[in-house]
Amino acid sequence: MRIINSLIIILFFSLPTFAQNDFTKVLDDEVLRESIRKHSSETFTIKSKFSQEKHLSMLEEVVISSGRFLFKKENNIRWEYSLPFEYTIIVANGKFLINNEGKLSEFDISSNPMFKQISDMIVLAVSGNFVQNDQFNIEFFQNGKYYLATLKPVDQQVSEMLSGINIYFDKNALNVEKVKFLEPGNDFTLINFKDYQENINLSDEEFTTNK
Amino acid sequence: MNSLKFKIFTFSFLVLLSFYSCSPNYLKGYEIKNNTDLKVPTIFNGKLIKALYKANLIVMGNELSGLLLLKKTNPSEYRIVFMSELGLKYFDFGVNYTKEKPEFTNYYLLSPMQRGEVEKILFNDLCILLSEFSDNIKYKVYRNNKTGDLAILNNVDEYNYVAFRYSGKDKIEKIQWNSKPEGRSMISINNYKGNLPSDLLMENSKYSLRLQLKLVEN
Repeated sequence: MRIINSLIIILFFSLPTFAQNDFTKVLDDEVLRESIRKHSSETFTIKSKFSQEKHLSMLEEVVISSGRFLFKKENNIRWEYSLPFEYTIIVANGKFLINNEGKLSEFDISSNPMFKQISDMIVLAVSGNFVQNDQFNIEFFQNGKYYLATLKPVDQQVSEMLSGINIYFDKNALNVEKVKFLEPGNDFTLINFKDYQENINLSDEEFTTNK
Repeated sequence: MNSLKFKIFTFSFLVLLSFYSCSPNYLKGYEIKNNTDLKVPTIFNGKLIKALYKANLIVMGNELSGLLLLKKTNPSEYRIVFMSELGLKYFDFGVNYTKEKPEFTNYYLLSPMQRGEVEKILFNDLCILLSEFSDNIKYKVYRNNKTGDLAILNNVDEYNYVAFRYSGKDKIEKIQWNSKPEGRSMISINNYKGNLPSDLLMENSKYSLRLQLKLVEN
């Protein structure tokens, strides 16, 4: 009886682990890579709401932010945070534009290599345009709901800041539903996209601080 | 008789002169107090459990913005995590006040920030921000009877000091301190929300470091 109880306890505590690790490796990923590449090439704009969870593992804390996200080819991005405070980052025409509660600032992306790398990674992750990128080692996994692409940076300096990026694609529509930025030491940032729309009309003004 | 008066006057003058010459300039008008008579104030007054601040840090000519989380992790230890809006962590420090000198742990510092004295200055100034002057720390307390300002000197070096200015009961309006080799720093608090400072500016003039905090939630 004691053994049965122990087995039940072990099984009970193992269930969440199974649920998190239900992804299996996509062995022949060429077809999937081609499908993602095609979907990415046909995606010209994205508009979505997002919630962002910063998980600080040692502190057992989750810091939550939310807002809206816009993307327009080739490399135009607008991250607009409304909570916990108003803050907008725009990447457009080789510049970072920041609106920090009404205080505007602007600088060249190329002037800050670290921000350029981060910006490139975000564009890659969200647009799905990473399949042929040699800056990462990429593997594909799947479960009933998602395709999961795991990206591990090749560059040593990048990997000191970011140990990996996990991108979760809806299995049917192939749009990005979640992106997880993994840091060395178990902390991570999870971005969930909702009310996701593709290829809608987005004016260029959205990628200025006028809007 | 006049000669005796003159000698007494000269002696008194020399005694006074020697007394004042031993006191640093910033202590003019201050009187030493027994530190058991006075409760030394701290910014958080021991009430900090967790607080999230919107933060802007200017360091070595670079401006970084994001969220700064302060959390008490045990009775004498704090963690300070500063991250960008996008979640990228800039630093994660721990400060422990168990011993006379605060102990610092660098859990993480973004590699581009690992330059010069950045770590040392941040640590030195953040220690004052969170400091708690417990009974096992030896210091001298001075008070300015006109303004009510307090100054604290440690027993190691009289030029390492911390001076406080109040705004109302137990609320600190300004702290200035000097330590070698980090130089002079200052924290000014414009507002409080409950027990927590809601608008705070920390500056180190020697290293052009400036940290502005606005309370988001606690």
